[in-house]
This record gives sequence, structure tokens and C-alpha cells, in this order.
Amino acid sequence: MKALHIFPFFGKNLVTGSEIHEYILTKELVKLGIEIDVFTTCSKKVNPLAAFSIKWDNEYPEGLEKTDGINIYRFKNTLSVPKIIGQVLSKLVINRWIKEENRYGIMVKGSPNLIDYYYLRTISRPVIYDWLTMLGRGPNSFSLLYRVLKTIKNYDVILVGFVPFALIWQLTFICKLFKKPVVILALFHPEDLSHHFKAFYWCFSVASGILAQTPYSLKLFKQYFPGSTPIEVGPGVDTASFGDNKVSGDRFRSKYGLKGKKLVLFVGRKEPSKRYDIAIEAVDLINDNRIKLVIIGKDIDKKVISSPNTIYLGEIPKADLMDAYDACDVFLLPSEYESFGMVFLEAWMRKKPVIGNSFCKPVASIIQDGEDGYLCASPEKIAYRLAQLICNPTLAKEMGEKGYKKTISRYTWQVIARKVYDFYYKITSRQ
Amino acid sequence: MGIFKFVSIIVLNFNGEKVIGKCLDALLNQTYPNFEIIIVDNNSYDRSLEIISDYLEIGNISVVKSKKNLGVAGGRNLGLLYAKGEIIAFIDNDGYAHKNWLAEAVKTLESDEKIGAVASVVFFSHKRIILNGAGGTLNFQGYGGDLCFNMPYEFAQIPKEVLYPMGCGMVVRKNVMDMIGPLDPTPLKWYDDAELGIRIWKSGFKVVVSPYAWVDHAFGYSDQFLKSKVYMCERARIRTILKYYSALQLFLWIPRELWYSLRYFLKSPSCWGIPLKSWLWNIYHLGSALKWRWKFISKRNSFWHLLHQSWGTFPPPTPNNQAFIPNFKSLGKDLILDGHSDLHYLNFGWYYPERDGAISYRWTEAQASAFLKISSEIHSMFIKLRAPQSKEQKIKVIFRRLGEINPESEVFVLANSDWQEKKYEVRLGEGFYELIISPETVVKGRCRRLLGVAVSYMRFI
Repeated sequence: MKALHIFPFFGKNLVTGSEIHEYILTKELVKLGIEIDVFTTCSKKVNPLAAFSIKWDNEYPEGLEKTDGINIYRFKNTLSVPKIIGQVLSKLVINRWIKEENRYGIMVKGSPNLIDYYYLRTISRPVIYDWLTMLGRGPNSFSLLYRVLKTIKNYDVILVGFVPFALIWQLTFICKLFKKPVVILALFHPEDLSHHFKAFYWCFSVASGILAQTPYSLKLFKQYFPGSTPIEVGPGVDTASFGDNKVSGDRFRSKYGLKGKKLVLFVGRKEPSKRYDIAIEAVDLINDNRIKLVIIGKDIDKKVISSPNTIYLGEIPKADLMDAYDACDVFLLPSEYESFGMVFLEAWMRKKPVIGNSFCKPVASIIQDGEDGYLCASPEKIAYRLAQLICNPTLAKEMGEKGYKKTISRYTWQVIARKVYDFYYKITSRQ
Repeated sequence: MGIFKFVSIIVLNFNGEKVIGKCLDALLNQTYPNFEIIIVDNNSYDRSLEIISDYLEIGNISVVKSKKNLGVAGGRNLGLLYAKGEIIAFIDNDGYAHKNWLAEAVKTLESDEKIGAVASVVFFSHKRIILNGAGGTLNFQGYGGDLCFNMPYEFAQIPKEVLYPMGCGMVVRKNVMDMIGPLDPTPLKWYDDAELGIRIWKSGFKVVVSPYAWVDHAFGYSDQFLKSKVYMCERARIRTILKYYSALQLFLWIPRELWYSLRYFLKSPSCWGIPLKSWLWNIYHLGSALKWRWKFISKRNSFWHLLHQSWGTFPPPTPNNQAFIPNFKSLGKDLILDGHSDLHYLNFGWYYPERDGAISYRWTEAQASAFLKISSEIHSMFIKLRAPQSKEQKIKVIFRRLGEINPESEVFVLANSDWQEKKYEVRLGEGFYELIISPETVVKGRCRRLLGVAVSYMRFI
């Protein structure tokens, strides 16, 4: 079988959850014997110019690169919308959103009907706003699309990722035109309005398959796109690295001067949607200088953290990150939007209890509240659960153990890759 | 949950920081197992959203905030957009449902497929023996009134079929709601429930009262934020009639309406602007009213038999039972109805105090209740009273020990149109008593009041 994977970014050294996901999944599928070409852009990261406009830099050289048995073809970004136009089209979309809010109200985050609300807004929106958004978000690589048009007949299946970028829309259209089976690695954040566009809905409806991350996402796809064929695969975790005996929490504590402290770990980009502010407030509410919140992740919003109970380390080497998971007493990520939250698996691999946001439904569908972690949303409740876990190491250990068992049985890359492999064969045979 | 149909409860909130918590506590305590709550916030500017947010983690609660105050009908329409239930229940933020409310209402709704909506029995929350209403009706003039308004539950005759369910606690089938369309948001407030009832009857369904679906209502809480209640009520009344009365009914209505508007002007010249403004507003919005009229013109099922057969203002005045707050610490054995010392004694059924020369007194309605404290055993009752008409009238006086249902003693008293003091033998032991005066007949008196008997005092020896 020959598969074509198409992603906005792709590289061995890219560190965010979605890029790790697509890279390891591709690598594992190659190991299972599928011949895979990857088409991607020369960009390493997004560079937002406005709400719906992204500048795509050409950071990698154009052409073929071979890594871990994968043929990676990089194409230059032909069209990045100029800043001023990006701002204008973003303004148009935001004005439309305001109109929708006047008509449909504003559903408060955490409401069970939030997705109905987004769906209603999305289907009422004229399609012109999808075009504007897709144009602004990109990537728009004409050479990539031309190459796809030329070579698509050589592939049995096409995997394309991920929301909210225009590649899904462009590629699904081409695949439908050439009647090629297309699978979408959606990484869809249902609680994020900026992921709700009719263009994506159309892709989900007509695609040959959707790789859903959680049972919750699977249910959503089936409910809102009745013709779609989703399967739950989820992401995996690098069991070899994160389960390695050489990983040492003591080393992390010594290196960063945290000996004798109780540590609450937060791993994620430092940006508002990850709600690191809630994590800080929760730890401040406990108000015990022996308990420290350690935040690890790229500084996106550049806001200064003034809490005496929080230590921000920024981006650190992967080895240190694994040590940090081992060092912490509790892992906390109150993020509002996640397609899965791979970091929970990484914490579970070090047998740590986790706390996630109960309003983020994909997360709520993987953490079993009270069993392998806790689900809560308000700083007060998080503070209560943190104190409970820190004061009761037996409970924390039990939860961590349960999380570890779940991860090992369901979320290793080998298990995930096998599911995708079987799915590819199923849809190609159906074709 | 198979046998329990899914219910969407739509709670309308505007500045409900003092009431919304209690409302949600009551809803989350329902014995009916299968429901969601959708809170529509009409752009509150108090702390109510903060309070609601605390509930999001507890139950199946969605909150949709409007960017402007859409009014009652507009707010309910917004909630309907997100309702997934086969049955829709509406309650206001100042409505506190009893735990069996939803179960009882759904049971009644499901008892007959011709029932389109169910009205709850609504009590005043600060005096839970007095009814706020059990469904409602309009009269020929279009004035709306809640049935059993201000009546003690014990003596109220709860109707079976009503023109409309009260907005606080109404339960409607979703398919019926879809059929009759969204509520008319133009008048902002008032007559939305009456309109819903009319549409349901016109569409061939019934509105019935569920006698055990109980809601306590903090009456008047939401009205405090309204600036021009009478004007808004008037314009909604006229619009409702323009939309749903038949041509013949309109033909009869218009001359009377003009006459009443003129009388209104002559009686209260300072308020002449209200009918004028109401009519101008309706003329301005006539186009949309006619559109609604056109939509329902083909639905010919009648609702006329459910209207109160009267013209002019409606409903007639009732004793202000909510205002009587008995104080058991200040009770004594003698009840002197002078408008001052009696305030701690009275429970319900008494009109305002009046004077006839040197005699101070109050009229009762069909039943009146007061409390007494008997400190030592008594043998006789002296009562000064008169009947509203010359014919001799029999009046039953019942004494019930507090907390008991069965009477301790009953006396039949006779009265005619002259003031008389009469002595009767009554034997009561020490303790607190409820005194109930129940005249055999009532007479329509001045200001259309229903008068039972006038009582000046009751003394016990």
C-alpha cells in the first residue's frame, strides 16, 4: 500500500502535540510496511498576523528529505496574505461573529449545549466567510497542490491534517475530484469556535474516514456528520522514552533548585487558551510556600507572571521535561481547548495523578474523574483537589498507577498505528 | 431513561442574583430524572451570571447570554433554539419548583395526546398557602388574569382546562411548540403566555392544569426592573386581540375599547397618554401583528368558551392576602378589626379597613382567616357584624387548633344589614387557634368586590 500524508508542518524536531502526533504516527505506519510520502510546507511554525491571517515563512529548504524511512517533500508557501489584507478579512469574519452573537446569544463555556450552539452559528454563516478564513489561514502552496494533482493517482490513500488549516479543505476537494479515499486527521477542538467552519464540516461529511482523538470526538462526528466514518484512534505516547528508568525527578529538582518542594506541573504553551492563569490562581489559593507550580512551555502571550508560588521555565530540553514529569506530585492542565491532551498520557507514564478541565469535553472523556485523575474547572475546586492529592500520597499513587495502566493498554503508538493501518486497508478495500 | 421523555427546562433570567440560586437548587432537586436546564440570561448587569457559573459543574446546565434584553418571549425563543427535549418546560428565575413539579406536569401532559400544554399551580413564595394562580384567562375586553389569584389553596377551586398556562411553570410538548411557531417577541413582556395558550387552543390542543405540579413564585421580583408596566401591559393586550380575535369579536370589541379608553381619560386625565401611546405603538407594529394573524387565520378551533364573560377591566379586586404576615408573638384573644391592632392576627380573606361612623370594620371575602391566642379557657364569643344585604345570612365560624385540620369548634352566626353585637357559646382551651369565617353566600359589592360579611370585632370571655 502506498499512502500520501499531507500536513501544514512536518519534522522530526517539531515539539507541539499535533506535530509529534503526525510524525510518530507516520513513522510507526512505515514500520508496519506502508510506503508513505509526506507532502508539507517549508514552515516550522505558524506566525499569526491577525485573528484569521497567518504568515507562512519558508524556514526549511524546498525539496526531498528522508528521515526514519519517510520521504518528506517540502514545498514553498506561494501565498501568504499581506498583513493589511489579513487584518481586513479578519475584521470581516469577526464582524460576522458579532452578528451571530446578537442573533444567537453567547453560550457560556462549560455548557453541554455549546457544540449545538457553534453548529447552529456555523451552518447559518454564508460561505464567503469560509473562503476568507481559508485564504487568510492558509497554507496556500500552489506547488504542493500541483504536485498532488500530478501524483495522486499513485497513492492508495491520502491522509490530511489538520483543523483549522486550509489544507484539509483543499485536499479533500482534490481527493473527491479524483475519487481517491481521503482520511482526515482532524485534531478538532470542539470547544473552540475558530475550528467551526462550514468548509471543515463539508470535509468531515465527505471524507472516507476521520481519525477521532477521543470517544467524545467520535460521538460528535457521528452526531453532527451522519454520513461520516470516524474511528477513535487517539494519540499515543513514546513509552520507551517516558517509561525509561533513567528519567529522574531528583535530577530535575536539583537542577532547578526545587528540592523539598511539592510540585504541581503544567506543560503547554503559555497562552490564554491553556488557562495557565487558573493554574496559578489555584496554587495561590492554597497559599503554602512549600507548594510550587512549575510551568513549562513556549511563551506565546509574553505576559509576566508575578505569583510567588509559580516558576516559569519556558521551553526546556526533552530530557529535562521527562524528568519534570517524574519530579511532580500532580500534573495540572486546565486548558479549555484540546483535541486530546497528549501531556496527560506523558504524566500517566510517570504514574502521576492528573487534573484536567471538566469543561473541555475531549479531556473529560479520557480522564476518569476520581479514578485516574480529577476533572474540575474553577480555581477553587482545582485548589481543593490539588491539596487533596498533595496531602494524600497514597491516593495520588493509586490514581497515577491507574492512569499508567490505561496508557500502556490503549495509548501506545504501536496500538494507535495498528488501528490506522487496519483502517487504511478497510477503506481501500471498500474503494 | 426510556420511559422518561427528555425535558428541556428553559429558565429566563434577568438580574436574578437574589433568586436564581434558589431556583436552580429546586430544579436540580427534581424527582424527574431526565432533563436539561437551559438558562437564558437577558443581559443581566448584576452578579447572577457569576452565581450561575458555579452551577455549570453540577448539573446538565447550559447558559446562553443575550447581548441585549430580548424580553420574555424573545428570551424564551432563544432558549428554544438549544432545547433538545421532547417536552419543554418554562420557569422564571423567581420560580422555585417543588421536587415533584416536573414529574407531575409531565404525567398530566402525557395523560392525553390532545393536551398541548400544562399549567402549574403557582403559589406566592413568601406565603405558600396563597395561590398566585392556576392557569389564566382573558375577558372579552382582552384583560388577562391568573385564575385563583390571591386565593387560599385550601378553598380554591383549581380549574381543569384554562385558556393559558402561567409563564412561570408552563410545560409544553415540543412538537406543539414547533407547530405553533416561536413566541412573538415584539411586545417584550406580558401576554406571551396568553398568546401561547390561544395558539395551542386554536391549533386543536388543550391547556390543562396539573393540580400537583407546584411552583412557588417570588411574585413581583422581575417586575421591579420595569419602568412602565401599565403601558407595556396595555400595548400587549391590544396586540393580542388584534392578532387572535375573530372579525366579529373585533367588531364588538372596538367600540367598547374606545369607550373604555375615553373613560380612562376622563377618570385619570394625568394618565391619558397610556392608551394613546399603546394605540400608536400598535399602529406602528400593525404589519407584524397582521402577519401573525394571517398565520393563524386558518386555524379555526375556538378558544372563546374559555374567556371570562365580562367586559371592562379584569380580574376584579381581591383581598391582598400576601400583605398579611401574622406574628404569633403579638397575638391575643380578642380580634378588633381597626386596621392597626389586627394586622398581626390576619391571615387571608380580609379587605382593607373601613369605617361606618364610629365603627371600624373589614369585609371578608368568601373565606377569611385570622389567628388567635387563647391564654385561659373561654366560654363565650361576642361578635359585632353585618351582612352586605338585608336578607338574613348564615355565617359559619370555625376554630381550628394550630396545626390541626379538623375544627375544635364550629358556630353558626346570623347577620343582617344592620350592625349587631351577638353572643355565642364557644368552648376553647388554652392554645393557638385559626379562626375561619365562611359566609354562606357572597355578594358583588362596590368596586366589584365579592363581599361575605363585615366584622368589627370578636371578643372572647
